[in-house]
Amino acid sequence: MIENVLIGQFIDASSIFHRLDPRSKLISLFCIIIAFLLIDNISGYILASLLVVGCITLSQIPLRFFLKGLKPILIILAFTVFYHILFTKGENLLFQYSILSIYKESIIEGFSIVLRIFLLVLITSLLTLTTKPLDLAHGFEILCKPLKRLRFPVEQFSLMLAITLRFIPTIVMELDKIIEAQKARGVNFEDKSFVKKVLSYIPIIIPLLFTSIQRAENLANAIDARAYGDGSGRTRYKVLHFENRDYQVIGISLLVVGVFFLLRMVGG
Amino acid sequence: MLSFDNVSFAYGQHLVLKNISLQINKGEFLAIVGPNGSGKSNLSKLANGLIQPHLGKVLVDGVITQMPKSLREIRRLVGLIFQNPEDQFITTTVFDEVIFGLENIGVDPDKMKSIAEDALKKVEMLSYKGLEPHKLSGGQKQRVAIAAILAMKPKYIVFDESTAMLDPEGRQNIITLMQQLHTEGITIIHITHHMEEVLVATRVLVLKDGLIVADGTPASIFNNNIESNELEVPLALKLKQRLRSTGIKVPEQVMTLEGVVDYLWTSS
Amino acid sequence: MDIKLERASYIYPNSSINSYESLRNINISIEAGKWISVIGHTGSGKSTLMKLLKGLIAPTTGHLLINGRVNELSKKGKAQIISDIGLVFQYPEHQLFETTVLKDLVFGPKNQGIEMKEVNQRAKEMIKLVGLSEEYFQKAPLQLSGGEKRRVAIATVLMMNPEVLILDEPTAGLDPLGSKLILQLIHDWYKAGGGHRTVIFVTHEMNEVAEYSDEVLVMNNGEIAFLDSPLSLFLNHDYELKEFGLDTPDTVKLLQLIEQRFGDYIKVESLQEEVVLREVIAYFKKQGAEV
Ligand SMILES: Nc1ncnc2c1ncn2[C@@H]1O[C@H](COP(=O)(O)OP(=O)(O)OP(=O)(O)O)[C@@H](O)[C@H]1O
Ligand SMILES: Nc1ncnc2c1ncn2[C@@H]1O[C@H](COP(=O)(O)OP(=O)(O)OP(=O)(O)O)[C@@H](O)[C@H]1O
Ligand SMILES: [Mg+2]
Ligand SMILES: [Mg+2]
Repeated sequence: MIENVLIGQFIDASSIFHRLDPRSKLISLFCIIIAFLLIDNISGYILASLLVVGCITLSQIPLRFFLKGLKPILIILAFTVFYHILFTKGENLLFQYSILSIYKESIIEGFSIVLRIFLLVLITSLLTLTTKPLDLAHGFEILCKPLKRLRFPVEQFSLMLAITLRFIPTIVMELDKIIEAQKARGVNFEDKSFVKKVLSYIPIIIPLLFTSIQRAENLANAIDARAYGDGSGRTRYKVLHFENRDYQVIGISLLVVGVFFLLRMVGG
Repeated sequence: MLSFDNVSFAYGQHLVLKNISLQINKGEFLAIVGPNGSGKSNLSKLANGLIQPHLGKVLVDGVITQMPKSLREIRRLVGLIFQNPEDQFITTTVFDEVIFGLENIGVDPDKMKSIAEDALKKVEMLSYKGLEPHKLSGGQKQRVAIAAILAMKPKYIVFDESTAMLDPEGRQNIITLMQQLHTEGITIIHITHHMEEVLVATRVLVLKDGLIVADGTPASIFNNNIESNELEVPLALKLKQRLRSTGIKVPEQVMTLEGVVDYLWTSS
Repeated sequence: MDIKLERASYIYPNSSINSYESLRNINISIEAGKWISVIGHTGSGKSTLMKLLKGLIAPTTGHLLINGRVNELSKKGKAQIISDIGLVFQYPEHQLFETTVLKDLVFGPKNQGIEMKEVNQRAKEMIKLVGLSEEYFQKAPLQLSGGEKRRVAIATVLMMNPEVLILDEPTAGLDPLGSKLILQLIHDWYKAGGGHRTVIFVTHEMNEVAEYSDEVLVMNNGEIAFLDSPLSLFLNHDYELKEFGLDTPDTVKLLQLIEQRFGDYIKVESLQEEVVLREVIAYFKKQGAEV
C-alpha cells in the first residue's frame, strides 16, 4: 500500500531535480501548473505530455513509482470521465437511448480533463518525490517571508506544511499496519469480489483515524521534546542559495508558460 | 539540579503520580525501576515540560517548567529519549533526524555535519545515515533515537527504556555510552526493567503506583528487597543469598558473579 | 502443526531503489510441540522471519510448507495467512487498533465466527490471565503504558486459540514480575497442549532462552547460524555468539567463572537457574567440606 502513495514520499537520487533549490522548484511548479491550466487544444496536450515524460526521465526515479502512485486516483478519474460523458451536453449527438444522450464534445472534454489532472498530479509528485518535506517547507518559508510583515505566521505554517507532507506516508504506513494486524487476526482482504473488498476496508477507517490522531499527538510531542519552540531562532544545516541551474530552470518554466499562452492564442 | 516539589499528575480521575518530591543532582547516574504503569514515563515527560504537573512544580536548574517561555531552554537542557522510538521520528532520513534537533537549538551550520556524524558513530549507525528511519529494525530505530538526542548535548539525558529492544552487545554498548557520558559530567536518568543495568548506577529509585517506594544505592536497594519478588534479583545476588544461608558468609557488598566466585576462591 | 521453510529469502519491496535480502537461504523445519527461541543481533531478520512463518509476507524465493504442503498462494508470491498460527508483533502499537481494549480482544474470535457470549467470557478470563483487570476493558489501548499495551497485545492473540504461538520480543518492556507472569502464562499454555502446541519465541534475554527452550535458532545477518539445544549452543559456541553481538546466560557465565578459578567443570543437565544454582551450591558445600 505504502508504495502506492506518491505525495509525501521522498526518493533519494542525484538527478538535476534533486539538486535544485526547493525555491526554484516551487516557482517552476507554479509556472508549469499555470501553463497546464492554459491548455485548450490537442497540440497543447501533446506538448505537455512530452514535457512531463521528459522531466520524469530526467528525475532518475523509476517510472513504476509514478504509475503505482496514479493507481489510487484512477477511481476518481474514471468517475470524472463518466460524469462528463453522461451529464454534459454538446452539439454533436453520438448516441441516444431514452434519457441517456452522449455527445462528442463531452467525450473529448471528459478525457481532456482527466489528462490534465494526470499531468498535474505527475508534475506535482515530481516535486515531492525529489524534495524532502523539511526542505520544501524551508523553501516555502523563505518565499513567503514578505507575508511575515502582514503578521502571517510563516514559520509555523511551513512546519505545518512539512509535517502534513511527512504525515501522509505515516498514515498510509499506519493503514498498512492495521491491515497487517487485522489479517493476522483472521480478516481476509483477498479472494473477494470488488464490492466485498471495499466493504472489508470499512472497519479499518475508524482505527485509522484513531491511531492517526494518536500518532499526530506523539509527533507533536517529539517536535516539542527536541526544542523546536516556536520555530524562531533556528539555524539551518542547508543554506539555500541559487545557482545558475536554478535561474535556468525558472527561465525555462517562464518560457513554457509563454509557449502555452501562445498556443492558446493561436490554436483557438 | 532537577527537582520535583510535591508533584502530582493525573489522567482524568486516574492519579498517576502522587505527591512526588525528588531531587536529582548534577552528575548523578540515576536508575528508575518499577512495575508497568507505575508512572515512570510520565515522570520523565514532566522533567522536560512535555506534560505539566497538576499540583506542585518541577524545576530544571532553578527554572520552572510551567513557564512557556523557558520551555525551549529546558528541553535543550533535558534530552528525553522516548520509550517507543517510532514516536520520535520527524524527518525522512537518519541523518536529517539528528540534524533536526541541532537546527532547533541554533547550532552553527558548519559544525552540524561533524556533530551529527559523531553522534551516529557513537551508536554505530553512521552507515545507515541515508536510510529512512521507519525502515529500520526495532533495535536500529532505538539507536537512531539516542543519537538524535546525544547530538544536542543536553546536560541531563533521560533514557526511557532505551535498552529494551537491543541485543546484548548493543545493550552493553549503550550502558558503556551512558557511563562515558556520566564521566563527561552529564546527568543520566535511566529507566529500565533490567536489574543488572541498575548495578552501574549511583542511585536507584523504585516507583510503584505513582509513589517513590525506595531510594538509595543499588546495593542497599537489592539487599533490602531481595525477599520481595517485585524486583528481579540478579543471579549473583541469589547465589550470594543461598550461600549465606548454607553458612558460607559472602560479604553483603559483593554484587557480581565475579565477586562471589573471587571471594570463594580467595577464602578457600 | 509442522512448519517448514525451504530455500526461502526475502527482500522488502519498497521505495529504496537498491534492495537487499533481509533473509537469505533459510531452511528450517519446525515440528509440532517444540519451544524454539530465536536470538540474533538487531537487524538480523528475526521479525521478518516471524512474519514469513505466519504467512503475512510471502518469501521472495523459496517456499513455506505447512504440514508438508506448500502454501499454494505463497508460490505465486502472494502471502496467505495461516490462521492457526498466532503472532504477537514486536511493537504492541502495531497490533492494537481498536478504540477499546475489549473490542480489540474480541476482534479475532469474532472473525473466527465464535459466539459473542463465549467470546466475552474468554475476554474476561484472558485479561486476568495477563495480569490486568476488567477495569481495562473500556480503556483505549494506545493510552496504556508500554507494558500494559504488551499484555493486552498478547491477550488478543491468545484469545484466538492458536496451535502455534509466535512471539516477537514479548517480554521487552515488561517489568520483571510481568515478564515472569507472561512467560509462565505462555509456558502453561504450551504445556496444556499436551505436546501439540508450538512456541516460537524471539528474545534478547539469554536467561529466558536458557530457562525455557528446547531449541535455539540463532540468526546472523539474515542467515541461520545455528539451530541447537541451549546446553550445547551456549557451552560450545559462546565465542561465536559473542562475535554475533549476542551473549550467554548468567548460568553459563557462572559455570565458566568457576571453571576458570577452580579448574573444575560442574556438569549440569540443563542451564535453568534452579538446576545450576543447586549444582553450584552442592559443589561449594563439598569444597567447604574438603577445606
Ligand atoms: N495518554 C494517556 N491517557 C490516559 N492514561 C494514560 C496515558 N498515558 C499513560 N496513562 C496511564 O498512566 C499510568 C502510568 O503510565 P506510565 O506510562 O507513566 O507508566 P510506566 O511506569 O512508564 O510503565 P511502563 O513500564 O509500562 O512503561 C498507566 O496506568 C497508564 O495507563
Ligand atoms: N519495512 C521495512 N522496509 C525495508 N527494510 C526493512 C523493513 N523492516 C526491516 N527492514 C530491514 O530488514 C532487516 C531485518 O529486519 P528485522 O526487523 O527482521 O530485524 P530483527 O532481527 O527483528 O531486529 P530487532 O532485534 O532490532 O527487532 C534490517 O536490516 C532492516 O533494516
Ligand atoms: Mg514507560
Ligand atoms: Mg525485530
